[in-house]
Amino acid sequence: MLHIDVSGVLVSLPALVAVGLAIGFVAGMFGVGGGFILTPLLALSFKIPMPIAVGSALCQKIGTSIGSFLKHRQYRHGEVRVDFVMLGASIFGVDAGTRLLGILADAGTFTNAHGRPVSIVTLTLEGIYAAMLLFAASMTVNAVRKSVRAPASDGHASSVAPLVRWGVPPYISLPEVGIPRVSVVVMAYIGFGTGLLSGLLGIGGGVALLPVLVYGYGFSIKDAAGTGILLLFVTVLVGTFEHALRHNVDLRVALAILAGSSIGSQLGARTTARVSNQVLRVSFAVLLLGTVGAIGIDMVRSLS
Amino acid sequence: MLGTVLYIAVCLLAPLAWGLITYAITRAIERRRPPTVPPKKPAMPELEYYL
Repeated sequence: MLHIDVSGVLVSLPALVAVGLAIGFVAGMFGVGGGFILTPLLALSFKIPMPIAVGSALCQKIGTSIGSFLKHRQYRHGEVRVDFVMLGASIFGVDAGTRLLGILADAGTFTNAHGRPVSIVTLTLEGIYAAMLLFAASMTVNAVRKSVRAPASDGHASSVAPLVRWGVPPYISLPEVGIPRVSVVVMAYIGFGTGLLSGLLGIGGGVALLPVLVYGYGFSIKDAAGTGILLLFVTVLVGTFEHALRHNVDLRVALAILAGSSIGSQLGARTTARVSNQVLRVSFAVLLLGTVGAIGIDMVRSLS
Repeated sequence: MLGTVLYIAVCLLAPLAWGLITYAITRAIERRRPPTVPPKKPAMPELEYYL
């Protein structure tokens, strides 16, 4: 009664709620979305097929990202023109990512040295996730070493940042963040990439967008955090639509996780107040590296 | 066809409604009982809201 059938895999509902609770706790404690752990966890722990894990993770993200969207609207940080320029391309990116996931899923399996079938889509996505989480872990470790600093101390962007200098017309100005001229074309391609990652991996896409805005365009952290919110919210909506169209969304999975994470995020936020930032950063790096380790072990197991 | 349209609509609206309800509840609780602990600077502002 407390188990549901997800594409032929029997999944415990209380376990899903517990995962949501844990993901929400991590999200609330560290101030991050938590989606980057969710999809690999659904695939690794519950053996849910990757396309369903991606679609359901995106669907539950609608519920968590609407809160961030409403909260950030109050502060009005960032440059909304960036969101609008990237939005159109991002929608095409989500479509491309969802189609790519379908192609990988249709590619089926190959046999390893011992003659066991290995799912191509699972192996590919695990590899991408491991690379992304390693990148995020390195960012966190750098922050622990205090070598990561905001590029502009006055809260405005630097006009000599690498992507600002790319001269592909047409251009627009970004007055809210103090950039006189940026290429619309370059920005649109970045939006496409964000959408592609979202449709393919079931994440908001901010893990890629934030470093681009901060290191590529020289945005301050505050402006970068406020800039992508509308883009990420719409990307998640479109991604869910695309995946629902292909029947990749299991509503029971999405809502069970959402139920747990609603409570977990509140508990996590309360815990944060009692722990030092340094301990938080180190625990976060350990969590990321632990997830990479779990993914790595699963990849080695399936290949050997 | 109608089943697919309904399924997509529920996939989009159910988590959205859930998110809005929890946001409203959280706001209402914060208004009634403002946090006694002063707000803390984010531990990892470079990653906040994004991962």
